[in-house]
Amino acid sequence: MNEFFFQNNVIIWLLLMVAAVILIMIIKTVVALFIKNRADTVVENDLNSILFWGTIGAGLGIFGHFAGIFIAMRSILSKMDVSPAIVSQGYLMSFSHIILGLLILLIAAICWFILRWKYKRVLP
Amino acid sequence: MKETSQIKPKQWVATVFWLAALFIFVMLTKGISTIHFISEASLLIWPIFALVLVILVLSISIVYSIYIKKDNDVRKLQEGLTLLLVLGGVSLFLGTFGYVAEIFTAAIETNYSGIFGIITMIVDKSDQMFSIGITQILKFNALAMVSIWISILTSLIWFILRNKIKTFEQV
Repeated sequence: MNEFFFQNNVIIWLLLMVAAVILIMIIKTVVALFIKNRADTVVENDLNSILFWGTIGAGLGIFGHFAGIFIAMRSILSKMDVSPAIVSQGYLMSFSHIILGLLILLIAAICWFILRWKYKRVLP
Repeated sequence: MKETSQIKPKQWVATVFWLAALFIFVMLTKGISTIHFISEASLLIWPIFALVLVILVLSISIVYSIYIKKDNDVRKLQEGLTLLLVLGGVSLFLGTFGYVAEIFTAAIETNYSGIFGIITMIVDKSDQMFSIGITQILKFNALAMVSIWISILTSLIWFILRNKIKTFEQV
């Protein structure tokens, strides 16, 4: 189970799922604020959810970073083969996770900031 | 002695709830003990597991208050939620502290400073401390992975329960 979890790169799929959830939240909030001109507690909850899921994305990215290094070191220790390819593959995998996670947080935070500004203007 | 039919439905729900909680706890403990990277992690993983226990008890008690006792005291519930979030933060702090502390220990043991120093040593294979270096990296990575994972799960529990409590506020 653990091998499947790490080797099949499930974290990337989890990150993409988080990104999809954020996108849905953003679209929902944009429709409520810009088209329906509505600012109630439901919209506020959706707005805060954008930032929350962004943080979860960053957390998953950092987790993936450590998992990548962990896998590389384990495969070195089990085979006692210090191929630079194994080390660089582990590092590449770990950095792709952390970059994607932080990118998700960055986009979510920017969207949250803009939508929050609009929410305060629409608020009666 | 009460007959089965005389027991209130609420008691049945509570019994089933606690049995389910016990089952989840046993399964989780069994699952954790079979994960091999736990044994490779730093010793600081044990305070994190103690935190997990506290987080689990706190989460179960909040869930019990909301769904079974139907306690709508928002202030009391929010205090519990804040504590839950703080515990998740403490887990993250312990993981970060352990990570840095283990890098420091590895640097002293192998005479290579920092994580990149240790990786350079591994790739160059220029030292007899080769396996010690890898073991050290496994140690602090496993610790960081566990602490981040627990923080993520705690914040997810917090988020779900917070949304539930917000519905009480709206009512």
